[in-house]
Amino acid sequence: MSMSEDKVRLIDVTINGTGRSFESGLSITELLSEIGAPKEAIAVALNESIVTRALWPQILLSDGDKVEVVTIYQGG
Amino acid sequence: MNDQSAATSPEADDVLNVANLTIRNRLILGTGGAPSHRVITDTVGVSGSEIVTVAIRRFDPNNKRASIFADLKELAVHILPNTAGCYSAKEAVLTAELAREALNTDLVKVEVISDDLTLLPDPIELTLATEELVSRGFQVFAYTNDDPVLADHLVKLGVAAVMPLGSPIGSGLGILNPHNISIIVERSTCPVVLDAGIGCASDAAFAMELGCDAVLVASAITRAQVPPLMAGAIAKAVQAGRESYRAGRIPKRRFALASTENDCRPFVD
Repeated sequence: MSMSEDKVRLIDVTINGTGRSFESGLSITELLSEIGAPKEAIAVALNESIVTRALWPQILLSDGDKVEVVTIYQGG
Repeated sequence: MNDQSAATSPEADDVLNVANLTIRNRLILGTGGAPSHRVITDTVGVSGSEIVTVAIRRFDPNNKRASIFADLKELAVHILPNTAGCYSAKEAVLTAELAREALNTDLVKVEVISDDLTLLPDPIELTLATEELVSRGFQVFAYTNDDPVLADHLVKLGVAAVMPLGSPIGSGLGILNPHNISIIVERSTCPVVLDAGIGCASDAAFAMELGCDAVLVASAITRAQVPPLMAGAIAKAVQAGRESYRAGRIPKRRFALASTENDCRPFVD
């Protein structure tokens, strides 16, 4: 595999039920920035496990991951 | 919770301690059904409510609908996240954990619904979710049926508040089984919040007169023709109902009891 092919390696991730492709090596923090999530009142689950805010920069997404990004809306 | 004797003078500081909160306004506002965020902020302002519920939903990157967080943060109210839309204990626990992470709060109103038609709580899944959430350190407000036995179970599991429904969510049918609500109030050792079914101010007053510690109202306000006007009316009704309960109603009698003494009537020897 050449260097250029390695650089553009893509992963398929499901975010809130919708499939998207990203370059590999994407952290949760970078994902949130990518989708324009606000800084406050946000929570993330990766493959049905909560990821605490402190771990967002460290966790890198893998091919096939399912990510839920939630916030608060009116209701109840 | 039967605390009628706790504060019987009109001047007494009649606060409600629930979970880790101390509140004076006993109307909890649900935000579901509001046509806009402005309606919510207006109704919070008019009612003086100190606790407001919110739902946990997927973030919408297209911003077709905006989070209510910024509006509520400005109002400095206590935010009570719920698990609305959950049909299993597993979903409810995961949603509660998301809420805790998003809002940095242990408060959660647990709702586990059985079906779309009735929106009644599923007692088995509700109990499982409550048990798990309490063990994880949540302060659980448990939305439940008007069943005194189920309420007892939830109280024993360690909930912060038990929230029996008056009638199905959004029905506006009022309190269909006041007898059961009274039993729940008499036996509960934690606050009882009447939740769901309130249609108008008199329903809220009735709930408080039954001894409920607070009332949660959403649709009756958010879907009223003039929501802020209804918010004010229900807030007053909650206060009036509370004072009426504390004052102690007269017993019901089968026959009349004269309020004026019969002695010394003129022309009667």
